[in-house]
Amino acid sequence: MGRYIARRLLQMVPVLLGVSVLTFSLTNLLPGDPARAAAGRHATPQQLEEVRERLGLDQPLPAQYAMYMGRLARGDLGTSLTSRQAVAEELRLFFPATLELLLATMLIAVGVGIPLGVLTAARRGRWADRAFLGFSYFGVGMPVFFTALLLQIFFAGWLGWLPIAGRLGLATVPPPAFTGMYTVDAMLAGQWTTLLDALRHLLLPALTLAIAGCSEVGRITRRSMLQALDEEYVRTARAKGVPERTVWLRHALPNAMLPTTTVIGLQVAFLLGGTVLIENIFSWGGLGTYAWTGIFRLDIPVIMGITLLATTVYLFVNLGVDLVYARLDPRIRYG
Amino acid sequence: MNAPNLLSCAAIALVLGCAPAGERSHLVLLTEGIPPTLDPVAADDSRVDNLSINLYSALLQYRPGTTDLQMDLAASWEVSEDARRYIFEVREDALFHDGTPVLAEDIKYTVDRMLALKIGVWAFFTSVSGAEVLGERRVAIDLFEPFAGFLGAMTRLYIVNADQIRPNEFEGDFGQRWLQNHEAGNGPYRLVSYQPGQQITVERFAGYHMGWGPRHVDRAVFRVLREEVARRIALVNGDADWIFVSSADTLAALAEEPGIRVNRDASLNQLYIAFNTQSEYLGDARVRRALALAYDYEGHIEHLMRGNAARAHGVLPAGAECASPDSPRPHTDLDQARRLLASAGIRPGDVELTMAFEGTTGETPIFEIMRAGAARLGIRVSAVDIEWDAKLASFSRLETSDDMGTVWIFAPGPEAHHYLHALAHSSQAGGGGNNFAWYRSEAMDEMLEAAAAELDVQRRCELYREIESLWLEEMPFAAVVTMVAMSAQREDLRGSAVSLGHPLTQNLYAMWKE
Repeated sequence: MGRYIARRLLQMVPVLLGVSVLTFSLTNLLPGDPARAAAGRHATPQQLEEVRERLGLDQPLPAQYAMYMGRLARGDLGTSLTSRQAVAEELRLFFPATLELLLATMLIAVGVGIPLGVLTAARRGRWADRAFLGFSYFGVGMPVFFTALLLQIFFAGWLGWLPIAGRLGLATVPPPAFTGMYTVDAMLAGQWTTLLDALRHLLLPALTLAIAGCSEVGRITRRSMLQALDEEYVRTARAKGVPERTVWLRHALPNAMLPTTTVIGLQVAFLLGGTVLIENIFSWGGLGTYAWTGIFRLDIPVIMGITLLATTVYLFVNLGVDLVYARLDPRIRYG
Repeated sequence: MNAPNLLSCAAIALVLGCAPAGERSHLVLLTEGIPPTLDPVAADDSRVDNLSINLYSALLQYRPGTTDLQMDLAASWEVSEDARRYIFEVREDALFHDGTPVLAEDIKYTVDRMLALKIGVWAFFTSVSGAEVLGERRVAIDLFEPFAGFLGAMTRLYIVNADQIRPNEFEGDFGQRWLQNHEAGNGPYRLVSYQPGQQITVERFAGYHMGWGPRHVDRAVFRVLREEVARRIALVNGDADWIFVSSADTLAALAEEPGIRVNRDASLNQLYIAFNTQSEYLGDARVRRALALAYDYEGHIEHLMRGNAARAHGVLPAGAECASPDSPRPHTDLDQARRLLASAGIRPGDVELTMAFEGTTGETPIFEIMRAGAARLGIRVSAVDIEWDAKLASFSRLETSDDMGTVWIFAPGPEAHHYLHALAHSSQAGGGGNNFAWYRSEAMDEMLEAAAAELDVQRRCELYREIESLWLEEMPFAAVVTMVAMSAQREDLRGSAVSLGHPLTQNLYAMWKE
C-alpha cells in the first residue's frame, strides 16, 4: 500500500506540470497586459518597461514559465501583481474558508444523500422514491447560482431564519485562528455562541452546494443498491435466512458504495468550481472570491496559484477515493 | 432526550439562536465592489474612495452632497500670482489615528509618493511638479502650469502618515504593500478590521479634528454583497441600513417597500461611446456623427434606466462646470444620419464595426441599443464583450483597438477638464489613457490646454464652448447619458448624500440614525 501511495504521489507531478503549462499558456493568451495591471493604469512607458523587466514579463513565454517553475520548486508561488502580497500567504488566508464550506457541503451531501439513496431503493416505485427522483432532477439540473438566490429569498428573505451572507454576524469577533475555519476554531476555543453564529452563516451556502451533490450521491446510491440487491450473493444471504436489515446494510450497501465513492470524488471537482459563484453570492471570502478578483484583474500568479492548489486538492481526493475502494472491496489490492 | 428530539432542538437553536445581542447597534452599508486595496493613492477607484473618504482627510474637501469646497486639514490656503504655487497651512488640531500630529512633512510625503508611483489619483495631478516644506505646518505645492482643476483635485489627495508608512516600505514601493490592508489615516473613522472580500469595519476616531456631535455614527460596516437580490433582501429585513442599487427594476421594487427610502441622486458620471478615428470607416467624421445620431438616447433613459439617467448638456453632464443648458443635447435623428452616410459615400451593408463593452457591469443593453441604431443605417456592429482591464489594454495600442468602445468618466470634481481633456487630448490616446477614439487634433489640444490653465471661470467656459463646437463637428465620442446614482436605505437613516466629487461613496461623518 505504501509503495502504491508513493507511486501515485509521483504520478501527480506530471499532472501538475501539465496543468501548470496549460494554465500558464492560456492565461497569457488572455487579452490584457499583466505589466499594466501591476504598474497601474497611468504608468508611463518607462515605468511599464521597468515593471515588465522586474517581473520578467519581457522574457519569452518559455523563459517566464521556467522562472515561475524555478520559484515554485522553492515553494514560492510568486507575488500577486495587484495586491503585492505573496500568493502562498494569500492562499493560506483564503483557503480555510473554502475548505470549511467544502467539508460542510460534503457532510450534508454524503450524510443525507446515501441514506436517501438506500431509503428510496427500499421503497422503489412508491411516492417517497418518486418524490426523491423528482427532487434529484431539480437538484442536478438547477444552476447553482439560481438555487442560491432561491434559498436566500426563502430562508433569509421570507422566513428571516438565516443570515443572507457572510461568515459571521457583524458583532461577532472571529475566534482565535488555529485552522482558519471559524466553526472548528470556535469549537477549539470553546466559544459556543461564535460556533452557533458561524454554523448559521455556513448553512445556506453549504446547503446550496449540497443540493446538487446530495441528488447525485442519492441517485447513484439508489441505483447501485438496486443492482446489488439483484446479485446472487444477496439472494444467497436471503436463502440462508440472514435478516433483511443485515442483508441491506452488511451485504448490499458496501458493494453499492463503490460507484457512490467515485461520484463523491467527482463532486469535489464540481464543488471547487461551484464555490467561485457561491462564495461571491454569499460574500464568503474564500478561494472563490480570491479567484474571481484574480481573474478579473488578470493577476497571473494568483490564477496559477489557485489552479495548482485546486488541482492538488483534486488529485489527493482521487487518491483518497482509490484507497477507500480497497477498504470497501477486498478484491482490490494495491501494491 | 432521544436523538430526533436532540436534533430538532439543535436545528431550532441554529435557526432561532440567531444574532448575538447588539448586532444592529451600528450602521451597515452593502456595496457591490470589492476594494482592490485600502491605499488612498488608488482613490480614483470609487471602491477605494468609499473607504478613503472615511479613513483619511484631504487638505480641502467638498461639502457632502455638493461641489462647494471647504477646508478640511487645511486651516488656510493661498495661491501665488502666477498660479503655480499653492501654499497650505495645516490645522494645529489635526491628528493621525496613532495620535501624532499632521505636519507639512506628511503633506510633502503624500505628494512625493503620488508623483513617484504615478498611479491612481496621480491622473488628476499631472500638472503638479512637487512639494516643499516651508514650516512645521506650512507646505507649498508647485505646479508646472496653472491648472483650474487643482483645488477640486485636492479633495482626492488623502494625506497619509509618513512616519507610519516609512518603516513599512518594501523595495521602494512607498508602503503600497502595507497599505493594501492597513491604514495610516487621519479621517473621522479608523479601521477596526478588514476581511478581504467580505467586510470592513470602522469606528469613530475620537481625535478627529472636525469634532463629534451626539448624532454621529459610532461604528460602521461596509459589507460586500455582489448580488443585488441579496442586498435588497438584507435591506428589507433590516439587516442593512443602506445599499447600492444598480438596477432600475430593483429601485422601483424597493420604492414600494414600507420603511425603505430610495435615492436617485444626480451624479457627474458620464457614459461616452468612443469612435476610433483611426479605423477604416470611422476616420470620416460624418460616419461618426451618423452613428451618434443613430443611438436611441430616449430609449436608453426611459426604458433601460426607467428614467434614472439624464441626457448630457452638449458633451458634459448637467452638473459639470461650464455645462450649458443651451448646448445641443444628444438626440436621435436617423434621417440626418442617413444623409451624412450618403455624403460620405457609405451605402447600407458597406460597413462592419466592432464595439467593446463590459457585459459583466451591465453594458450589454448599451451595445444592443447601438447595434440596433446602426442596423437601421445598414451598419453591422459585432460585440466584443470584455472586462475593463482587458478593454484598457486593448485600447492602449492602436492595432488592437476596436472600432467603438464604452468609456465611463467618474470625475473627481465638476471641472470640464476631467472629461474633455481625459477623452480628447492626444496625450490620452493609447498607453492606458481614456482617449479610446485615438483622436488627435492640434487645435483641440491647444484649446484644452488653454482652458485648463485659464483661472477665470467665465473665460474658461467660453473656451469650453469652442471645444464643444469642435467636438460636435468631429464627434470622437458620443456623450450617451449621465448616470443617476441609485441607492436605497432604511427610513431612519439620515444624512446620506452622494457627493458629486466622490461618486458611489458614502460619507459616514455626515450620516446619523434617528
